[in-house]
Amino acid sequence: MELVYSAKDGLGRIELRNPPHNALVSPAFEDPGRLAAFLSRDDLKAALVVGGGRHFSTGADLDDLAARVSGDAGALGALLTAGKKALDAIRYSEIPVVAAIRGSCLGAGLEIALACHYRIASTNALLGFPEAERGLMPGLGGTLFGGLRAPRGAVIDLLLSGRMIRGEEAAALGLVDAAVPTSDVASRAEELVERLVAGRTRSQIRSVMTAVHNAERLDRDAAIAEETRLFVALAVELAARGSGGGV
Amino acid sequence: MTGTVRIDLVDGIAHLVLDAPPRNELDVDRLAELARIAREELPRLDARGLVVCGAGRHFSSGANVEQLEAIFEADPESGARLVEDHSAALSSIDHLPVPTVAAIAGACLGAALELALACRFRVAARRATLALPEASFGLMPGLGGIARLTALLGRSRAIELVLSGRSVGAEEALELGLVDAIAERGALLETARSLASLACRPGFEAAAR
Repeated sequence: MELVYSAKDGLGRIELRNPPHNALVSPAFEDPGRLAAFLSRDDLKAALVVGGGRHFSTGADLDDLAARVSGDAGALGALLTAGKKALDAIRYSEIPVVAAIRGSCLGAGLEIALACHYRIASTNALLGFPEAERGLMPGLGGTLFGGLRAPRGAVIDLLLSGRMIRGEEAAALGLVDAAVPTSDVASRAEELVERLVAGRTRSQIRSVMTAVHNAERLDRDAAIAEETRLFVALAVELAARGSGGGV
Repeated sequence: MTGTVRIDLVDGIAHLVLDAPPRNELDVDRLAELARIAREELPRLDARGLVVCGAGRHFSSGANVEQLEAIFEADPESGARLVEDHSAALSSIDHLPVPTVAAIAGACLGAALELALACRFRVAARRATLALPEASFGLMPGLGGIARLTALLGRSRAIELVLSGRSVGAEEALELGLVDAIAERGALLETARSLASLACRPGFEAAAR
């Protein structure tokens, strides 16, 4: 699978491309540095992740994965680590990332969507973890659901049963933020981005995102100390601009 | 200076009252008083619980943003000190070994919502309005509000509320988990006091202290 990057009017776009289903060729689906470099571009305020064509992504080829395990488990571990780093580049990006999900969003494809900060799905999108049926489990951190609204029990059910659900049910569970008709997925995702970042400066967005990531990565007192430092830096920057006459 | 922040002891429960009606704005003087109370009085507080509330119709409209900006323009270091002191004050409330409850009527905005988030529980009156509007002024919450909101609601909802700066009514706040209960305006303080009195159950008090 290839990731195709583009940007327009401050909105980045990452297209997952490997027709027809955008399957991952390897768990190490992208160079983490390349993904991080794109998401930290100065001209971007937010980004969308979309699937090229009709589907988001059907995930990794599980037959191929099973073959790799029987071959060299150490090499597979290294590929999974690289894949997790790529997902972390999305999860901990300095700008909000929204997944626009149409068609199938399965396995590692769903893990990519879950690394994003928001998910807008079409009502008839298909989401699930088929790994369970093959005696496996998600390998890129898909079992970590820290920021999700979905209750833990519902997520465990999806992980163990391998059950596929439609976008509508995913929205009811809290696995995605909204389910809308297929033709509205893109516009709804763009509306969400607009609501988040319109009128905000790049350094505001970066500071808020960093404070949120710190809340997940640092202990509370350290996260709060860092948040206060980020606020002070922003206030100093604003004051400097204010006295210069700008807004 | 008109209005203040004060602490009353009512039947074993401390009331931290933001008392500068009508909006109970947390201007620089009141922030300083709040920091002093947190530093000097809270550690010696002989109460089994704490209720934080506003005098009159509102909890508080938060900090005076123009005043804060003027301070940062004149002297960034004293601005930084002010914010750090206030952040430390909220952390001392966060670390109190007794139940703490924010009783939220009317407006609860910005630094005031950050104060409410430093409490264990939040009870809102039916017509309360909660928001972190700092982003609309080119700023962000900076007193631990983002860290506490993220721990409470998860990253997606925290990012959305902080970046958009939008207002949330009591019903939505309850649904999000931003408040723990809704009370009729007339019963707000009693509801908050009963939550803050949890520690009077034997065992809970021993554990809390």
